[in-house]
Amino acid sequence: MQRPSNLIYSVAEKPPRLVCLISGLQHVAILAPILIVPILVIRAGSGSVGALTGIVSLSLVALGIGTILQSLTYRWLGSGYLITFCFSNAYFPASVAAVKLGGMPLVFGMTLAAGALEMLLAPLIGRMRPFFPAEISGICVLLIGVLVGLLGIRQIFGIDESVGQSGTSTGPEIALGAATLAVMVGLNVWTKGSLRMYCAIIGILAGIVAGLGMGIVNGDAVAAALAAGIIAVPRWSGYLPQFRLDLVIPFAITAIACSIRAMGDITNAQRINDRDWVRPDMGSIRNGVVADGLSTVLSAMLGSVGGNTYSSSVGLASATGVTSRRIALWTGVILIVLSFFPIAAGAIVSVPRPVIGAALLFNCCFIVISGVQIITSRLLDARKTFIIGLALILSLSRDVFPGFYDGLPNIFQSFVESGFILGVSAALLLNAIFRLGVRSKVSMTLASGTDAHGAVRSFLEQQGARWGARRDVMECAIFGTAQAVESIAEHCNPRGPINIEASFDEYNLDIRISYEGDVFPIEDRRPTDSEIRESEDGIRRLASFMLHQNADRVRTISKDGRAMLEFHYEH
Amino acid sequence: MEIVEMLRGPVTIIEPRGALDKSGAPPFGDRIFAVIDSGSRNLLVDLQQIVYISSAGFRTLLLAHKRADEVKAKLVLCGVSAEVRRLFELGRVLDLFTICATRDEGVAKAT
Repeated sequence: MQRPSNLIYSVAEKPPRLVCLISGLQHVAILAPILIVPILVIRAGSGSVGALTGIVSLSLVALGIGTILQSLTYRWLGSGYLITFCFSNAYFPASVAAVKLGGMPLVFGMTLAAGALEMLLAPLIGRMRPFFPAEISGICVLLIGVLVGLLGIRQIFGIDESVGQSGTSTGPEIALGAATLAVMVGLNVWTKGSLRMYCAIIGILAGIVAGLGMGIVNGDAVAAALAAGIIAVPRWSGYLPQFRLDLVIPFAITAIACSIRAMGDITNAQRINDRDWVRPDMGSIRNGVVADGLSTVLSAMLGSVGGNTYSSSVGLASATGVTSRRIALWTGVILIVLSFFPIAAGAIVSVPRPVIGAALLFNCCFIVISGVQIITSRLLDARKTFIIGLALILSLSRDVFPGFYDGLPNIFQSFVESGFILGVSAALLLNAIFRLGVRSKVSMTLASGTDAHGAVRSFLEQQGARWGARRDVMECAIFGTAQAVESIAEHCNPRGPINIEASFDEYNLDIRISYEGDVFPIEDRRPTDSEIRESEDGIRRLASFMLHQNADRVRTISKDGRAMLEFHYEH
Repeated sequence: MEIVEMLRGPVTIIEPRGALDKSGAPPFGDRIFAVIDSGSRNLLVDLQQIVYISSAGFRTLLLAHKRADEVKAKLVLCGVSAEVRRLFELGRVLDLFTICATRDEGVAKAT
């Protein structure tokens, strides 16, 4: 793992305590919007104000524990990255259905089962690798970013999709959101050091202060929290879990969707922490999904709703350049400590909606670009073009045409419940279908006198796009093959055509060149400049040396008058 | 191999297009030598249209470099893509040449 130069504190580094404290507060601040999820679920079940206050405090504990669990680097638990835990909108529909059918005990039981399912799915993640190539991970990350951004837009403009598409925000509220965003972006673009590191919390605080001055901050939640006392130990609800068979499918699909989202967030966290990142580390992802599922189980046991990795926290870490997992520990402890102060929950809920929206918009930019970079790190062919294009459009269409999707038969609702689920489902389905006809081993024959470079480039570029291979590795293979063919034609007296065979899996690219003729010797010593210029075999010896340097492994074989040159490239 | 040649002030700019391989290297080499032998002492080779250089192409570049040295001419390269730069590193010839990022820089360096 190579530390990117734009990071101030990378994942394994230990920032000073003050940096940890302020960065931790920054992450707590951007968690504000998601506290609305358990509140809305409880209100849907006609929960009391007392129950609301208690649940919010316990929710802070759940968030804190979940954040710490995700940062662990134990053998089977924790991705090891700074990714906070949040309450997922994905659980909202199923949780509302459960609370209406059986109150919070039913939400508790079904959420607990969903979290357990997510943990059980985690070991299967390694086997899902063929169905989860880099471009699918990239689409997941891209869609997460888009959806976070859309949520931000809704928050700023007050667009509630359940009552139509028109916004309810006033002019001053929109101006507040825009100004908050401007502060964050300005500090991130034009400043360095501490100002850049803390740009999000500075923007949020500036937005809160401005909101107070404009009379936009709603003090009801603070008043309600104060009624609970200055300090109050969070009390467990005492619910015993209940289950219903007819809720199994919606909660199961939600668990799968959360697993996939966790995979996307962890992939993003891996990428921003490693300059040489080339593919998702499935081991870390597996352990991260276990942590995510366990966090949901614990959240349910504490009486709150299901959760997921928080994409915005990865975006914030990328934006500020502080990705140390130590920040996760501090964030978790801060959240747990805040749970003892009911006013903290009230204050968090009181952050003006446009300010929250600005924070979401700020973070989504980094997530979106990360997704694009993951997608474009690989060669793309027509198959991948359609997978990416159709998944993106279908995902966006969910928000553009909500009425259409809401009107679909119930059997489809679990798959179209959110733009993310819809887009990822489409990508997975298309990827599985398009695997038809893609062979892992292909070959071509070059007649003597053929333009080696042109033919080899055309063949390998086309095949590399089908395989979704890394651009840089394919360029190595194109050069190596073209140079080898040119050298064989010039120096090995080939009789007849030259055969090229290429085979690929996600970790290996192998090229075998076979022909009837003399073996081409490979040298590991570079000829001198004067030997290259003046010696008869200067060109051949330079080619031999370059071929040796270009591949990770080279082998020459001679058998029954047929010579073979084999190149191995690690992918 | 298509080779475009132009003058900017005292600098002769040569822009080969295609691949500097066993077919493309000889005409490219002939052209550079012709330019040097005609008296030009400020040469800029723009490689932005080159996608591939084989050992034959590098030998031609080395010969051109030596010839330029002999007559005290300036030979500068520009427009080297990331992949072509990788090939220069592979052949251990990167440090031998003056390589500029843009044509304007190259002209300034070759003057």
